[in-house]
Amino acid sequence: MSFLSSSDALRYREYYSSCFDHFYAEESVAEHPALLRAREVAPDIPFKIIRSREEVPTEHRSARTLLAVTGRGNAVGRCPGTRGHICCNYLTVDLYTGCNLGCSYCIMQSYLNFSPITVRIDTQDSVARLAQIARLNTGRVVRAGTGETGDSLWLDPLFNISADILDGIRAHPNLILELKTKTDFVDHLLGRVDPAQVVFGFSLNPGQFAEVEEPAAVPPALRLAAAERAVQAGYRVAFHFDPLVRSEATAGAYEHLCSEVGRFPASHVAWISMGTIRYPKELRDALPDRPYMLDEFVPARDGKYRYLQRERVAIYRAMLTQLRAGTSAPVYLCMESAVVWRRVFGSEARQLPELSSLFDPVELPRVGEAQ
Amino acid sequence: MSVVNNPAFSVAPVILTAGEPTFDIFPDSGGAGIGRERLLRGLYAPFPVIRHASHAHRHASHEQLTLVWGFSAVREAEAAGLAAVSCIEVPNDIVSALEIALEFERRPGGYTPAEQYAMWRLMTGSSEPVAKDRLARVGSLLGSSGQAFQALMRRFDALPDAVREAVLGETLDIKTAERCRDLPAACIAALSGPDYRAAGLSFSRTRQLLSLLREIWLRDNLSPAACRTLMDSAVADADPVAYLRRQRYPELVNLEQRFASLRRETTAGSGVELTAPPYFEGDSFELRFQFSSRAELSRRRVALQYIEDRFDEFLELL
Repeated sequence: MSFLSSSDALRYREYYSSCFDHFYAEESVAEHPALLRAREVAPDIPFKIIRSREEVPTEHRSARTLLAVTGRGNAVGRCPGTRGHICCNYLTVDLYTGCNLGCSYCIMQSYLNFSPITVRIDTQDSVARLAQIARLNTGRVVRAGTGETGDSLWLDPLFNISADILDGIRAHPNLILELKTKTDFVDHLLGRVDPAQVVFGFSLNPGQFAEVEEPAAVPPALRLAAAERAVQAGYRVAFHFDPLVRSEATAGAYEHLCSEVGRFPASHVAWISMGTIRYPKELRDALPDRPYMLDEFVPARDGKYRYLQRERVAIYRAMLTQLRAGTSAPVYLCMESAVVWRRVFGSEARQLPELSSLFDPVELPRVGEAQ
Repeated sequence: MSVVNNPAFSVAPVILTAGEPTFDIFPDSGGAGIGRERLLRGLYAPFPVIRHASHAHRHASHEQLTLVWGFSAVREAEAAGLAAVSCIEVPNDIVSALEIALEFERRPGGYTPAEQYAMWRLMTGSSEPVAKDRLARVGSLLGSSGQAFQALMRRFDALPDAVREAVLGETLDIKTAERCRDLPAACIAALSGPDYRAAGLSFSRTRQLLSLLREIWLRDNLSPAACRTLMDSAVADADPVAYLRRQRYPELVNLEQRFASLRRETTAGSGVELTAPPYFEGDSFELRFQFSSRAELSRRRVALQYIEDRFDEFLELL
């Protein structure tokens, strides 16, 4: 367990035992180093090798069960984005499916309730695909992240998969892997992976809101402390104000968070994103009736429900003003319309010098193209 | 008991109508289609009855009989003064009797929620679970499948009593009922009150009204009494749904009203059609007009000038 300090080893052993009641692994990954590491970190979770994921008993199909699998299909793709809205051209590496941090606004939890937390532990294909994309896009930065369908770092002290990927892409310096999280689980990577190729991304919401709506996540103050440790160790960090929520629990609290972010040297803040809360209509009934969900939402042009456009613009402008008071790091909007971009920034992403390199489309290999 | 060579027998209608109303579950049908004329001439199939074995008696007039189907027709026969109607004995078993009742009723796909639920309650009333094949048979006679029937009835079972009553009374559909099941009982009860009925709201308007009411109730943390007062105020309004929508979406409604007012003040009577983007999402308004004379064009131009004069007010809406 060389990648964890002895105090972290103890902490994570207890932590993961409290998270899971069962741990299954497909026999195809039975000898995989990442699985062996996980077994060493969390030996107390009842463990069983199975032939395929279908063998997980029905009564164990929940977020209290961990399942390690071999990859099926292509794990690297474009962030799905949303019709008629500007996408930041992020590439997603789907290693994790599901999470039990329990964020009340999370669409995933509404349809993954009856599935184990699934981890694709063999990263070879993903690394090969990323390398291929890096070669196709020489001369520009390509951003990839593992936080689309799960939290990038929540299970990382268990499997240490991020280090595997970062080792694998070392030969492609134009690739940057963002590890987006609502935890403070960074210490096992500090000093062990190349600071030039990794960005630790922290989702932030006011503490009072997070306490209720992100019940099992690490409190935002501790996420900020982890960000500080990462920066002190020479790494870059990112901050994501997403979802931005207006409610009694958040009123006035974003200002404090923005000033906290302003304490970080801008040179070590890779980017900051903002996105107001949104949801597709068909999943509304699956989300709980939390007070903030009873605000006014209207269908935007992509069919997703958002605050009224002028309210969103007001929220983003206020946030931008507060952020700009403390940092010159690049700030962008997540899944927003061109109109909102123009109202907030005066122009669209690709016209903004600090963002154009991020928002220029990344070229992907054609299907079936050799790696 | 065998029902082969089961002879029909005559029973006074009063005995049947005074008997157990266990199977009286088709209030608007139950043989109503037979009609007085056919009853008088005896041109009908014998009515199915259960003869209770423990009280079986040689003389029909003293027998304990439960009519399985034909309540409307038997009442009609009684009203017409018929001395007896023709009956036939059927097995003393709830599910078999229901199957027979459904064979007589023959309305697959046309049973009301109340009728279906009454059957379900009968079937599940005993401690014995209903066998799958029998459930499938009943489901098929209902025009559905046993599984679908069972699933729907379990959703009915899960509703609070007042909400279920509203569904069975067809004031609410099951989906709305499930969504609004936690509304104060006083609000659900109001659905069957005279004021609500007088408002004449359709099924879909009721769904909108209750959804809005529920969201306001939750958002504003209203007491049950305050929620009922809000519902009554809405129902008393000329447009109950619009009344609640104003309270549920004050920002959006305010924008809509401001736009409507600006449009009226700039384009009324000019022949210029001015449209805002849906939900004020976007950065452009749409203008449409036609003209076929200089005078018409002049009127349009004046309206456009008014719009330009108040351009900033329009832009503020987006």
